[in-house]
Amino acid sequence: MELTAVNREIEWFEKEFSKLSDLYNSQNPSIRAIKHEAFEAFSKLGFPSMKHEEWKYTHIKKGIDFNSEINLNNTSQNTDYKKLKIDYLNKNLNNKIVIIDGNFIEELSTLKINGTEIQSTKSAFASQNHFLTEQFGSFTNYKTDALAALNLAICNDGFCIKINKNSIIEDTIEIIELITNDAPSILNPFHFLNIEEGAQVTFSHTLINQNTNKTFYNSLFQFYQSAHSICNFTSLQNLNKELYSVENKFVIQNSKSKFTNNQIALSGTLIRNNLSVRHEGQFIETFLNGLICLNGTDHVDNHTLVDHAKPNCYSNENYRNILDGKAHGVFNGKIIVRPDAQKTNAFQSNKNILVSDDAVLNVKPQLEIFADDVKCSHGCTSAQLDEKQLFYLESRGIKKEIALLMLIFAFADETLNGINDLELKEAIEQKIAQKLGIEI
Amino acid sequence: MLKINNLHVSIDNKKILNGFSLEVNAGEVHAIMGPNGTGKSTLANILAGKEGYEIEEGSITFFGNDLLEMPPHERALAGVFLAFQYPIEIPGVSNANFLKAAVNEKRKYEGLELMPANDLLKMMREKMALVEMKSDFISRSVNEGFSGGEKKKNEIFQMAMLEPKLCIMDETDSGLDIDALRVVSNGVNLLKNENNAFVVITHYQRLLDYIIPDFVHVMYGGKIVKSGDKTLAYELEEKGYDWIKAELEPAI
Repeated sequence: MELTAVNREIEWFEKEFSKLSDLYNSQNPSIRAIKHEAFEAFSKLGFPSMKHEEWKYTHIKKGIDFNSEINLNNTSQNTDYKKLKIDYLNKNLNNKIVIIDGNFIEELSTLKINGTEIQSTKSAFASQNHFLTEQFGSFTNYKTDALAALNLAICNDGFCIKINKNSIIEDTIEIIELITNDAPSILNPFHFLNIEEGAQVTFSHTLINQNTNKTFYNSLFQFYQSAHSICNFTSLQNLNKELYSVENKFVIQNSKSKFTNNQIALSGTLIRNNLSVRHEGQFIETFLNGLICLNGTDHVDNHTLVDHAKPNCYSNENYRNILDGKAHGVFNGKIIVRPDAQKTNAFQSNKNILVSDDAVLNVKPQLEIFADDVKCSHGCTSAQLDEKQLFYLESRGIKKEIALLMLIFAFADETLNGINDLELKEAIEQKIAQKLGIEI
Repeated sequence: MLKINNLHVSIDNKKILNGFSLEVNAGEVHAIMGPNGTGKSTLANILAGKEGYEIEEGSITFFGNDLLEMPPHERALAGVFLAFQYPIEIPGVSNANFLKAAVNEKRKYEGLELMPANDLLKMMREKMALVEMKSDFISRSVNEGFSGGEKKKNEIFQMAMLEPKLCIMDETDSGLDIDALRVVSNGVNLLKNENNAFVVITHYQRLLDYIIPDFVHVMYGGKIVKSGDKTLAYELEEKGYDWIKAELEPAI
């Protein structure tokens, strides 16, 4: 039964995919070669079902209606972009990259930021010699990861940015991904961030949607961090219904680089975030922070992987879920310490608050350690709020319900310390306060 | 202001207060002394509204209202303030946000407009000066990483911000060095006026050198067994509590 269903999906996919052939003819042959491999891989793998260990709790096929005509090409019905209402996190920022329905929108994006090169993925694909050409798909696990394969096979736009050697980008670069498309679609934007040696940059990334029909959004971010570079990336997901989002981030770090990812999800029917970091050098630092604050029937699944392949590196992971209503949170944190990776320090903390009786949480820390001289720890708790703290606030005249929210906010706020842009941090704090219904 | 009448309280079937009575009027300072385990902190917690105690008998009224019927935040709004023996750390809640919430809840209760942020900040700076706290404490999390002395100063600072009518100080002197003790007591003396009252719970007479009590009560076995003026505190300091126990023995 299952096999037949998978075959049907693959057949459907191959048929849809063949319609895209014209689109690919203009692309660079080496890009096309990878895309072809990715297509072959996906044709074998198909969409993961809940029988797949990595997808046990997240039923992504809910996001696709296999019986209807589905648009696989990133096209948008909206062309009058200036009229769109876009909720920027920081209106004062000049540096913007705007992606609508998977397409890079030149009219709304800042094309010239000192120390960087910014281009659409579409034009990078067409170029004969681009910083992307060599790296495309190179450290994604597309042969075994179906969603990465799907993205690489189909993607035809997104953004590519290079932060030039030793450039320090003072102002945060704000990336907006907005979905407006009302035709049933599977959108696969591909983004490449190449941070050259000694460069430093901060990104904020917001995923928002205005679509009213089921859309499956399967984005892929490929990061390449050269030695001595620093990248601080904050993703905020605040989605309305009808968007099913899978966000795949693959990060390669070289010696003495520092990568921080702050993953914040405040609403979403179905969100799956895959974040994989691989160390290719020594004395690397990786910080992965996550805050998931949900109610209703929202579902957010975070899968992380830190692959310690080299000695003397440090990673610190801190994910927190706050679940109310019938919300469902999933956290799977995998740390691999390979035989060469002596003197690794790897820490993982996962703390959770279940506000209601009906909220569901599934967590799985996974440590696979093959080196002997390492320090690794993980801790996972699910708890009620501290009664003594609650009483302290009440004894100063604060109503119990408000005191509870203050403590929940405080619990959430502690995950935001990795955000190095204070204005950005404040903007996100405001969003969280708004979500909880308190004033800060 | 406060009338406690024949209060009997137990926790997990263990009797803690055993017929405790006390009347406190505006402008008065009462010291409650006594050996460990006689129910002093229980009394403080019950006045503030902490859960987990069984009131078996007796009553507490505050300006004529039944205090035991009020949830903790309402007691605070009505003017009861407990300076905790062990102030809890609340990571992630800044002193500023905490006090903003508390001050504005009080203003709402009194039918006043919310205090503008600038006025609030100015008020905080003034009141912090009373207890010689550094101004960067405003932005730090409540009590987090504070030394014992800083925590106690923070209690008095909050007291200054909220201007309560009844201040209960639960062993505020414990863990304080002599300088911090002086600062904390100075703060209290500046806040003392004819409209408010203090109940000072302490083991030692030294705090009462700074905060001069009008009445000293000795608590033993869950009730007040002896009352007097400040000279009683000196007597206790000199002789310890045994002579009181001995005085009571024949009666039992």
